[in-house]
Amino acid sequence: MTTEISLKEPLIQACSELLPKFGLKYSFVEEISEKTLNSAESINLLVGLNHGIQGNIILGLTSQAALRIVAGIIGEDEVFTLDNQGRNALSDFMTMIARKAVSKLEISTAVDISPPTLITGDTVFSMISKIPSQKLSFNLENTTFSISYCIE
Amino acid sequence: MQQEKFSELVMLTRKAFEEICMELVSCEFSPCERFILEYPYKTAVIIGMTGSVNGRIHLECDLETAAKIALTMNFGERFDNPNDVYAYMAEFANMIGGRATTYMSEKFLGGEIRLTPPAIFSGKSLGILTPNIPSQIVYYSGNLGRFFIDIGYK
Repeated sequence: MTTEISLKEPLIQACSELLPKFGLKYSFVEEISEKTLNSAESINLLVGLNHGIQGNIILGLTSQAALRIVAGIIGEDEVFTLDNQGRNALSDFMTMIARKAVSKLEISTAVDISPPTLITGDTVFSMISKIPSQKLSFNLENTTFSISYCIE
Repeated sequence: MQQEKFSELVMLTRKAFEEICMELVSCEFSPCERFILEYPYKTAVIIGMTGSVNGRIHLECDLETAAKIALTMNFGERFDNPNDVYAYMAEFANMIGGRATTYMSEKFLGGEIRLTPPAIFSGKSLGILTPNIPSQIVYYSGNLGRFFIDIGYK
């Protein structure tokens, strides 16, 4: 017998625990099913999961959302460019989201998380699995962000 | 990570890449000088590693080279769905990652090395980096096109 594991609630809970700590006002909008190949944001952070579960999680950010999150993490009112410090901050943020989310899963085996990779570009498409993925959309103040995930 | 072990991991990953290219698509990719991929649309595959080795392998080429590799893997038969190119590239990278971890397990006895599923990104002006992970980029050229592998371990 197999039990389907969803990261939806764990990821929403992870956001609810983390974002307010950095002074970020956000709201969950919806979860949608996606195809295997999807358009991605201009700034994306990827972590892979294995051991307890196999899959990938992508945090998709508009430039505005990325700068707002970095500002929240480093305690500034505003940040204007995504420099090394900002990239490190986003990388740490992604690890925190993923760790918190998988820690809420009711599975007996520990889940390994790969180091976060930052992907930027124009007209970016992503394919994180051979099977369709799920995408959680959020509002973040005057912009949006998303978390796509897939468990194989 | 010690420099010696890092160099060894890079060497084993390169060996896996070169072997899989030869076995799977009969293409000898040779190390070459640094280059910039000219074709605007790039394809990148990222595979994470966890367990006794923590890191990631990032393979990148232009879309034209990816299409040639996928077509060769499909025995020259054209695809019904053009997006199948990405699925083939994922499998290509997965085999390289699998071979590399086999070599690493043999070399550094002790501890399991696990791969995360391949993630593919395609687009213009792709920039990919893994903060806080030392990495080395190796450039390759062969009759199917040009490739680079960015190998990062900590």
